Amino acid sequence: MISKLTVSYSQLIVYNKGIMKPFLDWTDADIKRGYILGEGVISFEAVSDYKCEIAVSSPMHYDENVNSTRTFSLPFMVESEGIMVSSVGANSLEFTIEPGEYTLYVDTIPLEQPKANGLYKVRYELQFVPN
Amino acid sequence: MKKFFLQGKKMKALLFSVAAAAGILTGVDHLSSQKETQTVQAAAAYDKTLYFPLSRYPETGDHIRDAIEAGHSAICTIDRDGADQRREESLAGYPAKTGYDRDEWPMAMCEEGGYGADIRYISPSDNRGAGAWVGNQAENDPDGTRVLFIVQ
Repeated sequence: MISKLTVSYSQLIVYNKGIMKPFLDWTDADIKRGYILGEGVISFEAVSDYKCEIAVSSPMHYDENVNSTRTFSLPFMVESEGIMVSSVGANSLEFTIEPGEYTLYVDTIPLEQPKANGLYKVRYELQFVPN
Repeated sequence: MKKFFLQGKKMKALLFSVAAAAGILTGVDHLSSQKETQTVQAAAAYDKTLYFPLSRYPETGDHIRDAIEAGHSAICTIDRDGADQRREESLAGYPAKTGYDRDEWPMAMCEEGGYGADIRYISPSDNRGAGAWVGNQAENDPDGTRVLFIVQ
């Protein structure tokens, strides 16, 4: 399933539905690492402050995308059936994932060359692989 | 002396923001009936106020304050659907620089943003932290909400 979202402030968040104020503060160390792991929240750096595609799936095994320019994985506990994906000032997207312990793989796939202003469309593939 | 000047500048920006938002810079005399009218206008100028924490995000806070003082709107009318178009307009002529974020005021998520917005290169942790703060404050505000920003 692919949905669209506008990225702002160079960040995307994945969080359990129901969490209030899910956005996390960034330190210089977080910037260097490219993500923050919070309680029921993962915040990660987006490469372009522009429209993007969000693809969420829950395969049994991680499916590597050869076009990905950046991949990371983190543990993630889905507490309820809904997880949310959002960015600053965006309408949050809701996806259904069965509750449980997962490893979340995030792939960043550019969909076009950067424009003169540095903006370009990107697809972020989020795979929740059960542990 | 310098400290005194900065405090005065900050105070001026703050007062200007509030005054502009309340509409009292539009020329109102002191007749009671007009006062009543002005009160109604002030009440309708914005829906909520956010006090942006300058001490937590000093670079972004300085940028917002300076941009407002330069005449940009202190009020953000949320309009999510137009954010991409406005960002394309506002960042034209401001190339990305490694190690910096491009901060926009007014923000692209605001109707007041877009072409002519003030752009400043800011360290990523300050800017993204500020963004996270704004995101948490405005998360549940529907499009059309008018938010008055006061940097303090």
